[in-house]
Amino acid sequence: MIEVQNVTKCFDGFPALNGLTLTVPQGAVYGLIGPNGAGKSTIIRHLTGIYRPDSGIVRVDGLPVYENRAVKSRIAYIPDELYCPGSITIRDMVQFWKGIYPRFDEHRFDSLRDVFQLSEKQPFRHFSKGMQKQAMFWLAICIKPDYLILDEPVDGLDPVMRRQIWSLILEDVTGCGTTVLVSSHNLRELEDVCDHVGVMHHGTMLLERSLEELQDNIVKVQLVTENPLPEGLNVVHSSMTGRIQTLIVRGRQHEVADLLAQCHPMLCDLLPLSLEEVFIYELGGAHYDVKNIVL
Amino acid sequence: MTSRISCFNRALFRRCLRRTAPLWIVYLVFWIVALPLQLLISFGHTPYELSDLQSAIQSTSQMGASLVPFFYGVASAWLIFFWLFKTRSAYFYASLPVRRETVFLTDFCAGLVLGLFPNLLIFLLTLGSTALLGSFQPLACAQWLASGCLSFLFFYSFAVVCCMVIGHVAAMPLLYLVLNFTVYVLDYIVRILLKTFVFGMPDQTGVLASKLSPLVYLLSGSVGPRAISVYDETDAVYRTVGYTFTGWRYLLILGGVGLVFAVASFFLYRSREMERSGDVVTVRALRPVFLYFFTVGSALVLGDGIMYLLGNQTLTANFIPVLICLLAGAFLGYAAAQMMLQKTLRVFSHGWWGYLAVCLCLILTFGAARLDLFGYSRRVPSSDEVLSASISTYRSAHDDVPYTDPDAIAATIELHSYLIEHQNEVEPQLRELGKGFYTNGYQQDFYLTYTLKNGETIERKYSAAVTAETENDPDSLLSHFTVLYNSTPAVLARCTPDWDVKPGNFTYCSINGPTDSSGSKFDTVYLSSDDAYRFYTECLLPDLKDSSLGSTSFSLGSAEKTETWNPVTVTLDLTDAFGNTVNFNYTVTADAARTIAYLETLGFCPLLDQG
Repeated sequence: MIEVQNVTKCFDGFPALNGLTLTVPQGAVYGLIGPNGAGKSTIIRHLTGIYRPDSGIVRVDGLPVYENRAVKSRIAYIPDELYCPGSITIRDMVQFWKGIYPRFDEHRFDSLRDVFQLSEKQPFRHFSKGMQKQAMFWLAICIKPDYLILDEPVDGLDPVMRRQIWSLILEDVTGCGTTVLVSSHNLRELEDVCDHVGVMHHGTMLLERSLEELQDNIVKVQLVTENPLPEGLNVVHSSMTGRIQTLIVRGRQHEVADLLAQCHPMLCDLLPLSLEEVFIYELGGAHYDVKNIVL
Repeated sequence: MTSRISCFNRALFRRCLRRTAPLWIVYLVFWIVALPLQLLISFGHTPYELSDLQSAIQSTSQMGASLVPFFYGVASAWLIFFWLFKTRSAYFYASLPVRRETVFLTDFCAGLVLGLFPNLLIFLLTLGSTALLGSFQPLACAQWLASGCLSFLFFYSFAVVCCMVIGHVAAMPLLYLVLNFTVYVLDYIVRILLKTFVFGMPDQTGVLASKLSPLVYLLSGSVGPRAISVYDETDAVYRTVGYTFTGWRYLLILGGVGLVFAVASFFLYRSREMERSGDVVTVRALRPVFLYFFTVGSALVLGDGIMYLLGNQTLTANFIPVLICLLAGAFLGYAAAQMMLQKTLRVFSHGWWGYLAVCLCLILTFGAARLDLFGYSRRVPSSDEVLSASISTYRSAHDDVPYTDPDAIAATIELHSYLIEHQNEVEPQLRELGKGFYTNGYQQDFYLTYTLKNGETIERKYSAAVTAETENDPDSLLSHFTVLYNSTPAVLARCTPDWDVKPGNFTYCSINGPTDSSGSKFDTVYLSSDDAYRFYTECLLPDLKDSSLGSTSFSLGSAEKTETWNPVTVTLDLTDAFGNTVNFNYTVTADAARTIAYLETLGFCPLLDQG
């Protein structure tokens, strides 16, 4: 389990993380989402032992990560911006990785050769961005990590390779109990793979729930009625096109339907929200400017 | 609980060596060509003296302990710790399951191997090549190895400290370069600036400043091979029989300082914030140090530069213009340092209190110097304190030779006191002379140096205007200086060795000059040791003692005369019992009756037909 408690980190006086608390359950696929500058990459760098927090606790399985070789050897990290040393090849990286990660599985590396189909003798710098990402996934999976931390992982990958890689990761999640923390702006993709979501804003955790719980607790309503809306309806956002009102209402679907029945609507459609919509409206509540977004 | 510390990681080490392979291969090839191969080519087919072979090995030690490790050290450190300068690479290494101590020690050791292993290989190859040549030279080779390794240890460790403090890929080698010369350059510039308004301040850099700038000191010749000479009684000459390496103490100190730097680097790396990669200064506590150090350094260097651009002659002895130049230099330095630290050009709108503080410090420091609050300018030693004194026109072993004659010391103190009393007259004279850019004369510098009985040395530099008026005025400052400079003790100190000479000491004597009265024909005559001894004791020395030889005239006329007058020149090399050689050149003047008489017997015409 990954635990982050009240972590603060300032860069030249600017608070990138402001008392952040986060919990990733064992074996979960946790999607970390938030607007640009929310602090997602910063907390990921804390989780991988790159940054030392100004205050607060960052623990993996109850142990601090910073300068902890034993913990870090169980974490595989793929950053948003890859470091690809000039003339190094995948073969060189395998040799290097074997000397660094004690659990590096060369048999697995060989078995995945057909999936990735990359030249092992070609220098990294000759690879495209997508191929470099593929190579890093190939190596990361072979570490057999207990924790896989991914920062914008599938940027630059083609759709087929994305599915291939996600399928390999999810295989590890189900087969080996690997815990995955992934930060991405591709919410449609996260919706398919994540079971937990954390929404960050201004260096704090806005909300952190299981995806099911998150989507069950907010509903989109298309409504035509001449009566006023009933009291007790928690409307997050509303807009009107002709006679049709579109409401985003906080609450479970059946509870909202019962309340709306009081105003005798001529039309009342209740629709589940996508993760992208949840993200936008939850941030709207946190003073993020969503006024002009029409869904 | 954190994991236990391991000191070494083979994967990292191998990667370091592979990454830096082009550098150490070039280094290795360079030395193979420069030393063992060169020895085999030079001495393989021709007969040679043992000392020549030793000399060939030793002569590379000078370069091998100075310039080569200076550049190789910084190149090694820069390549090995290159990953610290880029955010991506720094994050990559920081995310690996390797403790910081391990990363640092592995990388640092890889750097040491880069320097020490090729040196060891070259040592063995050179040893082998001397064996092949039939003259095994383990000592000379070992000296080469030890001096090179000690010097490399210092320069490499120093560069590693720079890598730990500096996070910018281009700033690191620049800082390394600047810091290596900082003490020397700042000492020089401070003297240059202070001499403009601190009466008597000499402008030459001291030995301490040179020692604190290792490359300068290593290149100065104080560290390196020295010839061992033995007196050959058959030929009555000294012969070089071998070489020894001097300066071990300094090299050992450098090695020790290198180790201290290595330890400092270790702790700096342990506490390094990886997010600082790309910053000019990565250590938070050192950012203000950098800001103010850079500002003060810029005040001095740029201030001096601005003075030079504006024409420093017009500013001589002017406190306010110098101060304005300093403050302008500080302004530029403070703005540049802020730009580097904040990584933005927008630094002009705020945060100038630091600059004002620097200005205040500069005004107070230089103001105190100008008002002589520390008593520097007024300090004149008493006769009882002084062991020896000297007067010279330029600081060299030939010219700056001390005398111990009590009367001469008293005369030196008297002149010194006179100068301080007449400071208000001397400074305006020079300023006026400077305004004319020396068209109406020139400025002659004189150095007065005292060695006190307590070991202290007092050095002062004064200048006298040489103009048509001052050269003929017996009361002028120039005349006062000339009298002391040409006094018998000063002349004898300058023109004779301070030990008793014997015929065997004369290792070289040549006389060059005109052999006809019109000065159109010239000849050179060489004297044997015995003849040189007789010439010296019977002619040169008596003429020097009665001041008819060895005197110098500081006048506008003498400057013109040298273009048309070709006097006889006598050159003497004397070697003492320790093998040290001193050289004297005498320009024979018309008053040196004994010398002229002897030269005429050799066929020279020292007195030319001026008509």
